Amino acid sequence: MDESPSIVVLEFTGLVSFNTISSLLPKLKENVDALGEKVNTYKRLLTISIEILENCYRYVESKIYLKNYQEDYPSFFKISKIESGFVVESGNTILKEDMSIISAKLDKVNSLDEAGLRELYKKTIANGQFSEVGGAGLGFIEIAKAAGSAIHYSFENIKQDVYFYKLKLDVKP
Amino acid sequence: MKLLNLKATEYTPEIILDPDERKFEFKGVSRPENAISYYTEVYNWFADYESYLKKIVYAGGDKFNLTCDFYFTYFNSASSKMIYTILEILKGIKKLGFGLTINWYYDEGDDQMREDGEELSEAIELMFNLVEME
Repeated sequence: MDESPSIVVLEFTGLVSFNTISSLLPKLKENVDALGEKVNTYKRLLTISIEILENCYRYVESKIYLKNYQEDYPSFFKISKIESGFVVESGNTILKEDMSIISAKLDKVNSLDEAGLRELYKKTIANGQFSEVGGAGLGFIEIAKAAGSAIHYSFENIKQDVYFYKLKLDVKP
Repeated sequence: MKLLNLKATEYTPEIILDPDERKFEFKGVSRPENAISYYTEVYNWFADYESYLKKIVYAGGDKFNLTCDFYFTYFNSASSKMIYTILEILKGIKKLGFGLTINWYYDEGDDQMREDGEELSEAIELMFNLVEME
């Protein structure tokens, strides 16, 4: 990860709702446009932002128990501009029982190159089923394709079966 | 079959399914709060249309050409799955012997939307005309 000075492009901390996403997207457009970035860079950041925020919203929304942790461990989302491109970071609480499923999906997309991601996308869109929280297994593939780099992730234990799940990825312009 | 005309919103595309013009259009943003429930009406329309066309074929009627225009500026991954299921019906209609032209429009410089079109085309095994708009 590039540790050079950064400019905050978009930042949100708190419970992510469908309305939160809607209110953040115009700011993303305005701030990326102000940096004079190409349309394609904006579209890639848009895809990454929506997929990550929707994952966070749908997941925390579906786990009532996790809402108890929002005050002390709020969800967050941040995009920073650095010299070599952009850094996208996010975090939200997660139940221990779901960690292995997420790790497996992330390890899978991180192991693939562009052609491999394309093949996985085609296979998943043809065969994937919608999960109980509305995803079709395509979200991480879309994020990895748009970022063009590995999706770094970590789980930090908060209390017994609850962890804080963080993502961090570089997006080259 | 009746025309289905869904107006665009901040989260959903304009969708016009016109059986008289034999033309289907999707335009705008697609990130509904619940993609399955939003696209159910559209999916059911196409399923009914396929049944209608099958009746024409069984009755020995003339087959004709259909056009489907996609001009998305953004769609989320849940929407792409629903678009794929609609394309599966269109593929079935093509197999009945009807002509099918799929135009995939994208904004100038929007490489990601062009690639999305290429990948959907490859996944469903239907030819898309990729058209960059100025």
